[in-house]
Amino acid sequence: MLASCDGATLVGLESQIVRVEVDVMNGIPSFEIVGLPDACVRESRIRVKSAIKNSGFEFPNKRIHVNLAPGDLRKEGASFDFPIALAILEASGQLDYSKPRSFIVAGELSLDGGVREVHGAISIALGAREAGKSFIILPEGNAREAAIVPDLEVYGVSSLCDAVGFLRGSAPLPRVKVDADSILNTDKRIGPDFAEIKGQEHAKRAIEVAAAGGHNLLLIGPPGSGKTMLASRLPSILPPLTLEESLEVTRIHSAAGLIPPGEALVTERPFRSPGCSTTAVGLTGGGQPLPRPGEVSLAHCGVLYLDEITLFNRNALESLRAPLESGSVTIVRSMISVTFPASFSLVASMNPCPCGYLGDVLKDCSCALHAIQKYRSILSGPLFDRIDMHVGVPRLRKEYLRRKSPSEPSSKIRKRVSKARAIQRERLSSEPIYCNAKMSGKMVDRYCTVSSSGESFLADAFDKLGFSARSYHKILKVARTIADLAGSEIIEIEHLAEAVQYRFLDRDDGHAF
Amino acid sequence: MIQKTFPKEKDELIFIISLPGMTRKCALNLLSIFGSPSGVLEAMSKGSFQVELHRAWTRWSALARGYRRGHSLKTLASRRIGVVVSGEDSYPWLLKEIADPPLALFIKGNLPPPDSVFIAIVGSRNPTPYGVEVAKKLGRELSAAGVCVVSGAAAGIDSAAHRGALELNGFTIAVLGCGVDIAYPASNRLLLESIRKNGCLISEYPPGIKPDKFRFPERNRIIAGMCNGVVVVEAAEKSGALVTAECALSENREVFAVPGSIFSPKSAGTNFLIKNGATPVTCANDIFEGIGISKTAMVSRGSNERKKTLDLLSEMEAMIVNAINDGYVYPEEISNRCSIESRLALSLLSQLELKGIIAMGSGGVYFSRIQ
Repeated sequence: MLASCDGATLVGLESQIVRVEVDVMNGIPSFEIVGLPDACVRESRIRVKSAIKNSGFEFPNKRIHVNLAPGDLRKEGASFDFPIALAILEASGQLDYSKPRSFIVAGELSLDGGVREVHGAISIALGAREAGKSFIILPEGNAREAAIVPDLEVYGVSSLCDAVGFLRGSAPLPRVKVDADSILNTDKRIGPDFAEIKGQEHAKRAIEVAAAGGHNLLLIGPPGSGKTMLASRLPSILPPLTLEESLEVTRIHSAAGLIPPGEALVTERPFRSPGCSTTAVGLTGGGQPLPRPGEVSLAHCGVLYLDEITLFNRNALESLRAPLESGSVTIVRSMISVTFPASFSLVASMNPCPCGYLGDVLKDCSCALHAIQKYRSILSGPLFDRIDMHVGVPRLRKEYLRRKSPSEPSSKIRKRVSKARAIQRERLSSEPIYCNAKMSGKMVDRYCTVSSSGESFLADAFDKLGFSARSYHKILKVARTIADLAGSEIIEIEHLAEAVQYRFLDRDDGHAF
Repeated sequence: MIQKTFPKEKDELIFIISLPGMTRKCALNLLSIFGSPSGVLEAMSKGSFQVELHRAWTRWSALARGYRRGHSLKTLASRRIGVVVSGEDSYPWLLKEIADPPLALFIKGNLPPPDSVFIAIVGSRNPTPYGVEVAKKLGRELSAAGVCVVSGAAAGIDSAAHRGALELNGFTIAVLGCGVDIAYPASNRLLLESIRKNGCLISEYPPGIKPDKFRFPERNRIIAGMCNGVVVVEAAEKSGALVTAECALSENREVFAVPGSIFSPKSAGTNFLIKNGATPVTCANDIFEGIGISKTAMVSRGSNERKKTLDLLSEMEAMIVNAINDGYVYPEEISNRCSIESRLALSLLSQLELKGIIAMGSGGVYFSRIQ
């Protein structure tokens, strides 16, 4: 007998509906799956067989053909276990539908007939709604996540029996409902906070400016000066995620399987810090047979932190250029091409020199100039061009660490940042961008009005401090953000003077740092 | 310097020196055999010698036959390269005294002001940030006192010394081991250009000569020879800078060395010099004392200057300058010491830097530039 059931697979972030067709016929008992299944899909034979048997049903001792259509798309993952099992039950006459046939089911089966979570639930739900399906059955742990999608009935099941009972109409299930707004608005932030950092006011200020203008940042300091500590707190001062952003982030994290079971939405801006051995594919995404999102996409709407950026593989760093430029990565393979969003703030850290102690007050640097120049040159080039701010993070003397005076909490800084962002959004409302860092050269000329004394200061700075031409726009952009933080429409000397401080790796003699 | 007149003898000498393959020794030999440049040229153009004086003799003969009077100097002048031969007034007077003075000096840029004091600053091509900072500081201090800073325009200490002098627009001389028209090392092209504008490039080699290894020790003898004293800033145990120091000693010039950590291999050479009697240097004043020039007037002018500069600053700015008086200070520390917001401190630091009162050193730390 023939039967079919709809499942889904992820292609990038989009879900593609896969029709699972099952034919149970007479002949030598066998169980074949066709339709370009990967090893994981082929192994579902074992799981399906045991799950059906252990759920109290009978596994037909016949010849079983399973076809996953469309036949030319590679299928991967364990999420087809569930639709295959349901189709076999129907084909062997053990399941009569009382519900409409227009639904999608996805889930991995365990041998005892239980259902396990799958990746990309929210994308599968979105795909189901687009295809006009009336409901979707998912493992319990995925149900809340999928229920974020409005206008779609979502049911969570914990076992194969639950699903069969529900489809027969004998055991109704409650529809899972989730209110996205209330999830976003309940602030359950317990992440790291700037109030916990003593001293480093200079670096904190720089991070505030970077957050306000969306600037990419390079932290330079000796080992143990707190670079990672500072960077990990950047998400806490970025404006809260909007619902749209949150949905996008959730889709990406869901596709990577990073949403904990039972969670509905990612409500915090992500902070990703891949290690320095991460490959280009690890950063941008990829993999066989279907590409998965990489670190740049997982950091979408949040912060990508590259600790010790000079230790990263050159190829890996070069692969960051496209996402930094366009806010997305496109992975092209022979069969498919997939685009993941990847709009993130880059924070990188490095030591000032190979030994790490150049300019340190407590320990002498033991590097030769050549070694320092060579070390720095790793960074030069296109990636360096996309970093707007350089900030020195010195090690602090013990006195400062012991000081009792409380530091400013992130929530306060976040208010200033949000205000500056609002100013930018309004100013740039006619442009396709929303923050200062993304301004093109033309926009810089249009929106960065410098006072006359500021102009002469800038000319002087270029003359005496030996900045390169490429610094010019960056200094203006950062100064624009500083002026926005101060609520000034005109960029004054003090704003420019502060911005100049954030470009010190650019000075032409190369000995400055 | 561009010569308006083309004295016959000078032109002939330049022609001989510029012959391909000609060395100083060979030129001197020829001059002593034939008495004068014109004698040499005459012998060459005849070319009839039973014994070949040099393996390039036949080639030289051919070239000598094509000699046109005044042409050598004219070509140099058209390339804006000046030339001084020994015996001329503008030839550096100290250089006349050394054992083997160069026959001629090719010069790009301006001649040093007469009666200047020349101090050489030399050292490792691969220094530590400490060495770079010291070389810059000495370069600055010397040129502030009107001393002409001489060095070799090599990477590292040499460049830093030139840069220090250039910061205050002081006159600085780069003595090259190649033709003055060749930028070597290539990474110093811009630096050489600004040295040419603010001072001059000097070489005993005619234009077009490539920087060969053996030329640098010869060059070092000129650096030592034309200066009143030589300061070695950082030098490893085997360093070209020690060659310069040796030349200076044998020509009876004062040798100074900047002390460094006894653990630093880059300071092994300088510490060795000090052990053997070189004057240790921690500031420009040590140098003035060493060569017997009184600079007490300079120092008092310095402290006046400081007061005057501070008077011109706003209260906040003066507070910051005072806060970084004791050496190298991070912006973070500065805002702590002055207890002002860091954005204000950062902004004031840039402005003070542009006024030339403070500067940023290695590692993003600030130091005061007024004494």
